[in-house]
Amino acid sequence: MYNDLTFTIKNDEVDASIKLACFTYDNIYYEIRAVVVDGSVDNTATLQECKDLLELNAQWDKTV
Amino acid sequence: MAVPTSGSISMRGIFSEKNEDDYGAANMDGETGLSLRGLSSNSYSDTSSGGNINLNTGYASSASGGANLVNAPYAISEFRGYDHDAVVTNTTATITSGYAHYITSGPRGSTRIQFSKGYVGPSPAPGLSAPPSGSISNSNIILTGGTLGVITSFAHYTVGPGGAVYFRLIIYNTSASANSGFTNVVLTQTALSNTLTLARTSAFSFAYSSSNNTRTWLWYYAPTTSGYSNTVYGSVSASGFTSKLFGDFNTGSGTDSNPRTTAVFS
Repeated sequence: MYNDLTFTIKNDEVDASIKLACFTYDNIYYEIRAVVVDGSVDNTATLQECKDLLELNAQWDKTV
Repeated sequence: MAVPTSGSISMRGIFSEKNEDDYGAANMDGETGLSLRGLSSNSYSDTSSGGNINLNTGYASSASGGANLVNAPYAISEFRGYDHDAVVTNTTATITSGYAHYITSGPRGSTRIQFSKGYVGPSPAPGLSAPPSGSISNSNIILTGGTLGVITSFAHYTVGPGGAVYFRLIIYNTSASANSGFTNVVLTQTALSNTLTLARTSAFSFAYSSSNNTRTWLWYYAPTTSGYSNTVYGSVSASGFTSKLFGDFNTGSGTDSNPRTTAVFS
């Protein structure tokens, strides 16, 4: 699921040391902390974090 | 310059303060027929030649007459201190929590406690009911930097059976979409003196919905996360596992009798 999901990286507007993965899904814009390893964004792990967030939200949407 | 707090004051100066934020200018700006009732009440014109100028919404905190400024009998003296361009802030919301706790099955016959507490909290897990909504006062948060928006949800709930928790903050604002607007929100359980600071930049995720005009911040604490013990009482496998920040120290489901949680934004 979420196979077409892609994200971009940006720095937090106030704290530029924080890297955020940004993506839009179902007309909702998301930002989530990117997974950083040795100073570089781990794209695979970050994408999985994005998918996990959507999956978690989807589970809640079924009941809330 | 606001209306002086001492010495003589004039209706002309008060009009000038309302009209151009400058009491000292005492400028009628070409208008005539000053009305004290008009100056004091938004329901009447300030002058017979012109219209009404609404008072600063924070008049009660700057004018010496307080909230009574707008009520008859009207008095010039009640305008002492009135500042027409004062920035009105509201940094603190107070929450009376709704709550729900569930005992669910864990591995090898053990049990797990899952809860959701706060204002408009979600279900703590699929298949479980959301708690009662609870209530909030002073939900429209206005900081010196501008309006953050109206809190439509602020809750603390478990994520899965392992004891991890989310703090979820949802803010409604038709003119803001960015992951910004505040630095910290300090949660305090006032009866138990428990406090937790949630930094915006430490949020696990941020989401903006253009269709709902809402911004959502989530903070995530797992049992292995530093500071986790500041968020909950007990352990996930034992009765009594509940929020340290939202509501009373309780079990079961319902709505607290009293407001127990403040959220102070900066």
